Parts: sequence; structure tokens; C-alpha cells
Amino acid sequence: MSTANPAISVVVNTTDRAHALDTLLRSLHHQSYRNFEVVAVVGPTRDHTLDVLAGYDGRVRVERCPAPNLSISRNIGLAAATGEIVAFLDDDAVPCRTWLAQLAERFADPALDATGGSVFLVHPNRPMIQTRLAYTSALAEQVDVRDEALADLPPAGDGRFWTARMMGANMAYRKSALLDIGGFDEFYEWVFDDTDIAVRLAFGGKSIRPVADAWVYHAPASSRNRVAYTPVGRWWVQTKAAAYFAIKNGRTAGESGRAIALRILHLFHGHWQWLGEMQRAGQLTFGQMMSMRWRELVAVGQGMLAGLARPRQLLASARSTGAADESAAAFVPFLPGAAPATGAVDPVTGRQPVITMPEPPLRVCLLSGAYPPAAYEGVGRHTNLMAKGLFELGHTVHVIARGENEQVTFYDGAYVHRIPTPLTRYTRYQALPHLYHTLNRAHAVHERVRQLVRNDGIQLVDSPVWQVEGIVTARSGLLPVVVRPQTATRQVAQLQREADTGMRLIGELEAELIAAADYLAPNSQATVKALRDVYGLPASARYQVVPHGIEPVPDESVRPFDVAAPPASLTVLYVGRLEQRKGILDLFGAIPAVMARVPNVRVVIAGADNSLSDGFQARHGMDYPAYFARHYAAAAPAVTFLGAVSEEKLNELYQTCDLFVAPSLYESFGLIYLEAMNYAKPVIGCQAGGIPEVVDDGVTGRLVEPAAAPALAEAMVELLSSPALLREMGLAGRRRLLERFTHVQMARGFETIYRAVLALPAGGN
Amino acid sequence: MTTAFTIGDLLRDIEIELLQGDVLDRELSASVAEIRRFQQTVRAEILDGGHNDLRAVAGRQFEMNDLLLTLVQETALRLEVLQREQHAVIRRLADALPPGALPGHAGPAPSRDEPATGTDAPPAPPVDEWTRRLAEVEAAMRGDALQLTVAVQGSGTPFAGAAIDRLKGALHSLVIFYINRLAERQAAINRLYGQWIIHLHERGRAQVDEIDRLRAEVRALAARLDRLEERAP
Repeated sequence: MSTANPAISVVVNTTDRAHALDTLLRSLHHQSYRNFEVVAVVGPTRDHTLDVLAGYDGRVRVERCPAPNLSISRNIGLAAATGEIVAFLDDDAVPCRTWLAQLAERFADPALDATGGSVFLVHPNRPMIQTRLAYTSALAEQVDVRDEALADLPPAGDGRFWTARMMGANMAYRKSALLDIGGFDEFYEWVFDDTDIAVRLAFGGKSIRPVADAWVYHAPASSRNRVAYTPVGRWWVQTKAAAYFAIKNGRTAGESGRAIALRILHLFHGHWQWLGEMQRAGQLTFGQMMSMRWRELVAVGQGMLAGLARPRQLLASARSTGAADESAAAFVPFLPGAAPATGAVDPVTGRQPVITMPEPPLRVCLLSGAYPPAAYEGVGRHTNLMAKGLFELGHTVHVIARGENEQVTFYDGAYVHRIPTPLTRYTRYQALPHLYHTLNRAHAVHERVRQLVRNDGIQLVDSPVWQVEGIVTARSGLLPVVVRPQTATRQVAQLQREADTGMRLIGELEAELIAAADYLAPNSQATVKALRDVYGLPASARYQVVPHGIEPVPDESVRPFDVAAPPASLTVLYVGRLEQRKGILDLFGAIPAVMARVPNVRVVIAGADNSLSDGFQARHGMDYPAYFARHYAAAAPAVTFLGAVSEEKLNELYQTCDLFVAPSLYESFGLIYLEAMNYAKPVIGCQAGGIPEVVDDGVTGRLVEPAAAPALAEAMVELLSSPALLREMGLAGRRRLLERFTHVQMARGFETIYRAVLALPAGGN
Repeated sequence: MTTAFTIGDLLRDIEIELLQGDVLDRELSASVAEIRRFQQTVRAEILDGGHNDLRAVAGRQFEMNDLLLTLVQETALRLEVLQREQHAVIRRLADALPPGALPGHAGPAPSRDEPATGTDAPPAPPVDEWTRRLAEVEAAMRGDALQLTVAVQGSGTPFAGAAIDRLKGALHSLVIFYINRLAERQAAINRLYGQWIIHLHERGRAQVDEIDRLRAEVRALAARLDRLEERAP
């Protein structure tokens, strides 16, 4: 029997992971599919799992499993399930929004007996695709990611019988199919239960078809079997299970005794070697290693003995506990009414901002090639702060960033999807490498956007103009696209007088992206002007200025000095790339004049040298620090060039400086000034671009004409000569930031735009 | 040459890649290429390596079947997804139009002043790499490509050599007879897969053409909508 809207029983087997279970149950409120019940099978628990479940009284059916055995627990859940479809989900996993909808859609095919989707290991240090279209042999040879196997054909393995399989964290079955084969084999107390069921279903002629979509995000929690994020675990249980599996299933598949024996030897040897490697790496003591090796040996023996002599134990516990009798119980939907407007949930920590939501939360996708913590750059930092702010407002945020391998993490309130850029399209532009890469990148991003529409139901895409990552999506018409114009390639090319064909065409693509945008969110009025000057912004374009915002540091991190006892030596800080556009030469020119009048000053310059790409080296034959040392030798001892610095170091520099100077010739906004103001530091910038919208001249700092070293020196001297002024302006800057420029205020600005876009007749342009 | 590219070229190529990408995305394309390579490896292993273990041959063929099945399944899934996306795009754009602006299902073809691609020239037809590859896969799957022939090296044994060679030849013929029967069946399965893949591909292409037509229609309607808005007081 198959229906278009089948009742699904979500079975969660859980023991002593109350916190993770709580996260999962809250995340299930975001499922787009409504016709499902939740059966929680609780093992011998010692934590507050039952208290968590008490909060769902009448919405979650609770069963008890007497033994710490996953297969017994699964069988109890299976027997208790009242749905036509039974979907198993780990208690430390969070499914994508359309997980159940996709499973229901697949099971509309009456010929399908089992399916399941990909699992992303949302690991802070080692994120990866844990499973995608996996398969296994009857000799327990598992290939977890089919793409990898395709890259390495023929698949490594000796098994003659192979079948698709799903991972326990994300698998669904037609209940009748599982009952036909007797449910799970209760020998498997942990691991191989999911693989065994797949092989037995295949032996029984059932149809198993996993899918690449229907994602589950898996944030592993500790259990009695393993300590999450460490190599500590009862790994011998795996060996025992694998030996049993190879014998039971290998024999059914007609494998020879020699092949089975070799496979078991191989498994045992693998674990033996691995334990040795861990001991050599200092993760295990010699005693621990030998103890674990002994356990491995015993486990192999137990597994083989059981495989040879013991009959399979199927659904036995479910019958003995009486759970099977409950299958006649009424189906209790987990979400009986309309979808509650609950905010996004952090799948790793379980954090969910407590806010009042008058309107349903949004699901947005932000694009940013470079993204923290892998890279701290202007657009990446801005996107990161947007994501943080939007999460605080209850919205679900996905970020698509650049990465060498496909992976998903949850970082600062957002799912961060790092994807590589395969250079397989647009080959006719290979001679223009920057353009060629840009187009391929935009296409790779679009493919991910499509996946996110299918899996997480994202409603719109927000793309910076920089690197035009949203151009393909904007052209596709798939979703509304909001565009964040900041300083873009065409502007930089004009400022730096660069005019190669690739740059010109990327500039044209920027203009197209701006024209195709459903809404523009410039960061300043200066950017609006630039859009008109550089891109010919049409009068009909919809836009709203959303100033940048940053996360305020705690008050205790702000240390303005005591005016009565000012520091003996004052520190001037410059942050930014060392390039002409940032006004670094003007700062060089001002430093000797300042030192002549304020002798107790030292200057710290933090930022990567960009002399090669901005043409400075070609003109002068040296980089910026060398240029300063040669032309301003007298001042050189008081100036320190740090190069690129870490985020932590940067914060320390802001915290410890006395005056911040960045005489940039143009900034579309000037995030660096906000960062200094965050630490109550007075700032000096130029009357250029969006800087005057951030710096209140004479109140939070000083503004000077661009490219005017004497005026810059004068302003620096004015402030450095007056400790009272330094302190007063610094505190005024901090107040201004808290009033107007926090990341949450910025997120509110974007939220307004997103809601406006979604309310437009076609959801946009 | 590179300086001759225009923004029109870029936008046209994005459109083409979008259309191709709807059916032939990177993963699928890579899968076909890898399966073909695998097929060649297996063929070389069986035909050239003097490999006549029936179980090994069958094992390899089952792996092959599994991979092909996944490919077919993924293709079918992608087409379904594509269909859903297509409906979503149409719904979004149809919502933008005032009541009565949609002139029935067929919709008008874009007129000369409403170019379908937003550029001066019509888009160039996409190079059909996919079809070419499928043809190659199909050729590799032909039954005769899997047939084995008897190849017995002379034993070189004095006196009894000829008799030994005849006996070896007879045994080899027997083994090869069974392998060839298996190969015939496998070839039939392969043909079936091939037909399915081509059928799905054709369905996909038809959908892509339909999307292309609908996009052009939507652009024309959007242009009409703009004009209506301009005329509005």
C-alpha cells in the first residue's frame, strides 16, 4: 500500500544524551511535512532524558529498552510504530527541513522498500560527508560515499554481493518490509545494524534506493560506546559485529570460507594497526593499546563463534517487552496544529535564541567565497556578522563558501557549506583565468543553491556583488536574489587603472547582477552614488541602505585609559592591506611630521603587503615596508610592520592602541573604523566614500581630505596631544556603535528587505 | 581573440550551461565517464587477461549493474527535481503578471523586439557531449564486445604436446561457451540500461526545451508587464 501522504513514524533510539535529544526534538518543529509521529525508545538512562520527553507529553510516544543494545531498541521502535513508513534518526542528528517530505515522496513508489539520504558530519575540526549513496558487500566492505568510489573504480573489495545501504542516522523503511525479514538482528549492540538490515533486505528481494538528497546534519554526541571528537571508544564492538556480519551474510551470499576468513583477518588487522598508530601518536598509552588489542582479539572470537553457532535473534525483544502490541495504538502527530513560529536551532550546541516572532522565521542563503574561520576578509566578515545577527533574530541561515572538499559545519549561527569549484564549464574563457574561475564558481554556487532549495527550503539568496557569485542564480530565476553592493571589481579597476579584458567582463557581470537583483542592499549612501556612477543604476531599482554592523565586545574588554594618568607612550594603529588605495603612502608621509611633534609615539601597521598586485613593486622595485625603511629611515625604528594578523591578534591590537588611523582613498563603508570604535578608540579617516557615514567628524574622530599627508599629520597631532580628547572621542565612538552599528541592527535591516522581497508579487523582480 | 568576448557571450553561455546543467550536471557526467572507464578495465581484465573464472566475471558484472542502476535512478530523480523547479519558476513568474496577462497554456513566442535571450543573436545550440558519450557507452555495451574467443598457447611438450593442446582447447572452449552465454545475457541487460539512460536523457532534453520555451515566454510577459507599468498613471 502506498499513499501520497503516508503516516511516518520517526523512531529515535536514545540513551543518556538528553541534551542532544532535546535539540533534535526542537528542530523537528521545522519539518515541512506534518503527518508524522515520534517514537522515542529510551535505553537504561541515568541522565534527564525522561524529563526532556516529559515536555512533549502527548506528542512523543516513549518506549523503554531494557538493554544498552541499539538493535533491540530499533526493534522496539519498529514494533511500536504506527506509521506505514518508519524513519530512523539518531538522537544527535538534525534533519533538513524537507527530510520527511522527501522520504514520503520516495515512498509514493509502491515498489520502494527502503531509502535514506546523505549525512553530513557537522564536526568542528573534521567535517565531512559521512554517507552519500553508500553501498556494502556481504563481507562487510562498506563504501560510504559513492562519488569517492566512482573516482576509484573498481571498488576496493573482494565481496561478490553488493547492495546499496543507508546509515542509521538517516534511514527509512516501509514497515511491512522490515517485518517481513524479522526486523533488526539483535546481535548488533552498536554499529552494523544498519548495514545488516540492508543486506538482508536485498537477500529478500526488497528494493533499496538511497538518495543523495534528504540530508541529515550529524553532530556526534558522546555515548557509552565512544567519546565524541576523540578516538576513545569501544571499537572492538565494531570488530565483533563485523566478524558476525561477514559470516552470516557472507555465507548467505555464497562466499567461500576462505574469503570470509580473510576478510575477518583483514578487519582485525586493521584495528590492530590503527591502535598502534594511535599509541605512536600519543593518543593511547602502551597499556591502553595492549588492553584494547586484547579486547579486539576476544571480540573477533565472540563474533565468529556467534556467526557460526548462534541463530539470528530477530524482533525477540520487541515481542517480550510488549511493544509489538502497541502497533495498534493511535497515530499521534508530533505537530498537531499549525507550524509554530519557532526560531532556528544550533544543531551542535542546541542553542535557540529566545525571541518573540510575530512573523514566521526566514530561511536564507548568504554567499561569501571567503568565510571565517578559514579566512577573515571584508565580505566574509560582513557575511559572518549578518549570519550571526540573523540567527539571533531566529532565522535559519545557510552560507555557501569556498572549500577544497565538500563539507558542512555550523559556525556562528549558520550552516556553512564549503564547496569546491570544479573547472568543468565555460572552457572557452580559459584564456581569461579570473573570469573563467569566476563563472565556474558562480555555477558551482548555483548547484548548491538548488540543493538547498530541495533540502532546506531556502527562500532567497543574498549575494555580494564582489566576485558575482550570485549571477547564475539570478539569471536562473530559481529564487529571489538580494544583492549587497560594496566595493566591486569595476570600482577597484577604475581606482587602480586596471583594464584587462577579464576585469572588464567581470565588471559587466557585476552590472548584470545588479540589474537582475530583486532588491539591493547597499551599505552606505556612498555606495548608492557609486552604483549610479559606475554601473548606471536604473531609477526603478529597489534598494535600501543597510549599514554594516559588528558584534559589540563586552564592556569589560573596553579599556579607556585614565586621563589623569595617560600612558607614557602612545600607539597609533593602522589596519588594512598595504596598497595605494588604502592611503598607506599618505600615512608614511605623515609619520615623520607626527614624530617630530609628539615624540612618544609608535606606529603599528597590520595588514598584508599588496605591493605586487597594485603595481607598486613594478614602479619602485620594492615592497611597502622596504620603501618606508629606505625613504623614512629616521622614523623606521618607531614603526612596526606586522603583516597579516589573526583575528585574535587584531582584537588585541585594537584593544591596546590609543588612536586608529586609516587614510583610505575610498571605502564603500569602512568596517575597520567600527572595529576600532568597538574598543572605544578615536579614529581618523578620510572624507571619502562611506567613511563620513561612520565617523562623526569632531565627535568620534577626525576626517581629513584624501591623499593629503600634511592634513593627516595635523589631525594625528591634534588628537595625540590631548589625552582627554582621545578618551572622549573613543567613548563617543563606542556609544555611536551601540546605538547604530551592531550586527543585530544590521540583521534587522536585512530582515526588512527579505520580507519585502518575499512579499513582492513574484517573490521578487 | 579573448578581447572580442562581450557580456552578451557570457550571458548566453550562462543560459546554455543552465540548460545543460539541468540534465547533465557534473556528478552525473563524471559518473558516466567513470563507469565507462570501469567497463573498459573489466573488459581488458576478462578478455585480455585470460581470466576465465565465471564467478569473478559475474561479480564484476553485478558491480557494473549496481553502478548503472544508481546512474539511472539518479537521472530519474534529477528529472523529477527539475520538473518541480520548473513549476516553481513558472508559478513565481506567473504570479507577477496581472490577471488576464497569461494568454493560455501555449503562450506567445517572443517577437523580434522581445528577444528570447536578451541579446542580439539567438543562442548557439549546445554541443551535445552527453549524447556522444552515451553513444560510446552503448557501443562498449554491445554483445560482441563481450564475446571471448579461444586462445590456447601451445604447450611445447614433445610427443604428447598436440594431444595436450587439443584437450586444453576443448576445456577452454567449454569454459568460454559458458562465459559467452553469460556475456550475452549481460549484454542484453546492458542494452536495457543503455536504452533507459537514453530514454531518460531524451525526456530530460524535451524538458529542457520546454523550460527554454517557457523562459522565453516569461521574459516576453515580463517585458509586457514592464510596459504596462510604465503606462500606468
